[in-house]
Amino acid sequence: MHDYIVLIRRRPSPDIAAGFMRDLRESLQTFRTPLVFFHGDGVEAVSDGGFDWPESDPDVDWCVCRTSLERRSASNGLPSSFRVATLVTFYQAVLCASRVDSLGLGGRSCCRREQRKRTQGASNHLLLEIGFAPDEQRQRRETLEMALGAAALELDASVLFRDSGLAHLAGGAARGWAQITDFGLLGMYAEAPARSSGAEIPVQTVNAARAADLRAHAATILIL
Amino acid sequence: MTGERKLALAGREFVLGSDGHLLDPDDWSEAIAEELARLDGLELCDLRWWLIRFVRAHYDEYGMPPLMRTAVMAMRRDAGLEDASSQTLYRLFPDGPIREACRFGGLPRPESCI
Repeated sequence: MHDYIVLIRRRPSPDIAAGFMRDLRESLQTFRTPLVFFHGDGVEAVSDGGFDWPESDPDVDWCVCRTSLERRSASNGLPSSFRVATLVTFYQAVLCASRVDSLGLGGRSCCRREQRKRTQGASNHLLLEIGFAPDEQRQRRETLEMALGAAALELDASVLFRDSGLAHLAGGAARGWAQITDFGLLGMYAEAPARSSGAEIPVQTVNAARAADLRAHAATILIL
Repeated sequence: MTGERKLALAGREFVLGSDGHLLDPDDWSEAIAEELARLDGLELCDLRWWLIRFVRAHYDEYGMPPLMRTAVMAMRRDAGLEDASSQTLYRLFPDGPIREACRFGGLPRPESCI
């Protein structure tokens, strides 16, 4: 069982990379059984040699998403201390961890979230927050797969789109998200100031106060 | 290409990838599905056909195959099997219900790791 989870969905942008790596090293030392999970574009930060991951720490479980690797034909390029894993591994770990950090598609801001103390009857609600527009189709698909992974495991979860992340819901490429609302797989919300979020599919538009409420009541928030 | 093989049917040849999926989805027909099943020693009963058609329709609508959870929900709602579960799907296609429904349905192999 892992007590600390870090989700990395993109290589840290240059202006925050040094601080991010310093904070990561410190945090990894704080917890007994951390897991670092690289997904989507994040797997490129493992093999491109630009980051000095503290992979010699034997207590850290370094995991790379299998599907993300296969898409990038990088299956043969993993350092020996890294292993291939799936979203099942990731989400099972998230449910049990006491802290979850996530570096989303923007590569700039890392959400650090202490989990609520798990008491009987307490909410296990997971909020997937999407605040960055995709640069290309693969990013769209992989962000959707993070949500579908939670849905496949029947987690108590919702998706909140905000800011440029609303672009995921625009255009023909948004149809993949429609399966979530059509089949009631997860809650779906779009934080937008006006009534209409511009979404092509039926999501519930919420104001800033309601979005803050969604965040406040989530046991875990993942920035995708 | 390495691993590709040909499927001969009704005087034509169709190309399968190393994963057994049709390389050109436009080549698909129900006859091809029946032939693929025959080669696997499988009979496409009504329920197997229901799943294949559901997966194809889902792919057409959403650009990807359904989650198993979604297929179970639809089976309960639309196929009259109120007790349907993931076990029901695995009894239809033990090697992976959604993946096999994609193969017999002329769709690409699903990519997701769920």
